[in-house]
Amino acid sequence: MIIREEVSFFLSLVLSGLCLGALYAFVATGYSLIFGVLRFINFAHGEIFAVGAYAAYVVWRLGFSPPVLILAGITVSAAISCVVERFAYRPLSQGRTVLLLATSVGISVIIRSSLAILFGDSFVTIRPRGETCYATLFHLRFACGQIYVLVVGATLTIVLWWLVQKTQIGRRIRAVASNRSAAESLGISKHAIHRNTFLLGGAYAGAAGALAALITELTPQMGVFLGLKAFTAAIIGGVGSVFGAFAAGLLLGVFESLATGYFGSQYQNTYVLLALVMFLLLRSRVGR
Amino acid sequence: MYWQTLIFFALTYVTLALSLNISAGYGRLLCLCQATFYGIGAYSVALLPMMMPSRSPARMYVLGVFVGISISAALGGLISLLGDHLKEDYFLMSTFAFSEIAQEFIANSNWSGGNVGLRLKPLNMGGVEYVFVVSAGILMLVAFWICGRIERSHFGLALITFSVDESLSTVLGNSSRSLRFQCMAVSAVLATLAGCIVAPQLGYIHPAFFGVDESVLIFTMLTLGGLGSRYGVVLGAFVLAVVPSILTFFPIATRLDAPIRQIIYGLLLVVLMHLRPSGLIPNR
Repeated sequence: MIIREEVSFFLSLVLSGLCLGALYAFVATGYSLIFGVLRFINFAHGEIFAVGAYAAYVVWRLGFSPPVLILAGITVSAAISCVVERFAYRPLSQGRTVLLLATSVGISVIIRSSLAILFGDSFVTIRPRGETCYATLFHLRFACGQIYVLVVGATLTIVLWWLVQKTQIGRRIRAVASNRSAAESLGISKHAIHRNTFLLGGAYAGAAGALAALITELTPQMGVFLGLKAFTAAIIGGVGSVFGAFAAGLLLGVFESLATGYFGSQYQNTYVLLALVMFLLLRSRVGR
Repeated sequence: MYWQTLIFFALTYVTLALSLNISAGYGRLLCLCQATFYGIGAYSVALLPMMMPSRSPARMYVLGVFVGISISAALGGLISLLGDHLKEDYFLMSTFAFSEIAQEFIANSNWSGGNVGLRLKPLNMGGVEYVFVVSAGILMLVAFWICGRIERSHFGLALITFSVDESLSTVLGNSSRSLRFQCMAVSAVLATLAGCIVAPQLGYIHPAFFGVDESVLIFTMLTLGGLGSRYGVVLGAFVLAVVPSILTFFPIATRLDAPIRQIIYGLLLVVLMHLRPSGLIPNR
């Protein structure tokens, strides 16, 4: 019996880790895509995620069901991501990286503080209808929110794979990422590619935000740590590699969930960030 | 009292921005963890008198200053080694992560007072009221003088060569690793000293005083003034430290005070990067 309980504890940790990992994976994908075309780390990407979560919250308050929540998160985040690209990053895309970096730091502060003004500093939560339900499978209890995250996450993953590998947009983004000047000389418009990349990255960050709204509580600061962890995943997966980032995001989620499950949640964020620092120290010359 | 606090913080922020200027402006190490070094100073002078209550607080304060400086210099040196490996945006994110780790560590530990914060043992200063304001002023002058020395020394020229052409600098016999190591250590020590002065002036410290928002603010001051230009940095830090206090003359809810201030900082940073990419007073 004890062994069985241990195993089911372990499995439930893995499961919640996968939920968390799906969120990291979607945001990490955005980091990777944007790095590919603009060659800078978009510091404000975690905040785009938070915007998606709050969009879902607002729609939920208006009385809509979870599928609408996710659509709302995707739409609002993608729109804001595009606006930021057009007015803040595009004028600087020829300049030094430092300018883009400083701008994205500024944007992240603006978004975070706007959320704090609109929704207050303390946390809010969503309790979707039917949240009290639990499903039991192989002696494991799932919250319905978690099932939702896993199912929607898997679907969106397939869509992402299709978008990046099989569509014109995805091919062009990959072309610009692998060789900017060659892509331009083939007639691929740089601005359109930048816009599409931010659209795609923003949409997936928004989807992750809306899914996060279903399983966790929302604070204006929620994007900071998530952004950092997703960035960690993007680095571990190899920056510029979309599916490497995705896989690393899932792994990181499971790692974090196991670490907090067995060593306590006091330093939940520290585990992952230490993993980042260790990885950077051990792997020499990342991005150089 | 109000003016005293305002002047004190203006001086402290100028010092912090100048200290970041040494690592980020001269050493090209875009570091988003200056507030952590600042916090190390504040916590070490607050904790040492508490750990040894039988000794005289003033003596323990001095010991705290030395402990803080040693910890910061060592950490700063280690971080600069990381900068040798990483491109600037990776380095920025990693130092940001470091800043978050440090804040979370302090906020969740028992010995540091955790999320409640720490109330300091009062130091007996013999009734001299302005002692910390005066020392903040002296520290600022020292930081400014160090920046000036660096700009005009062989060391500074080597740094400029390094930022212009990495391979030329290596050929001339400069080790980028040792140059950056020194920049980062000096920068960390200056920030720590600022923390050592802030803690007794406030009498109370909290992990949020030394968090990521603070690091971003110091970074904003530096970019506002101009990376690597010491007059610009003084101007930028002074403007950003004083402007928000004008806000207090407007009747807005106190709940909104902090976020509105943050938005102003963020907007300033974004607008400035578009209009004056090299800062208010550019470096040559």
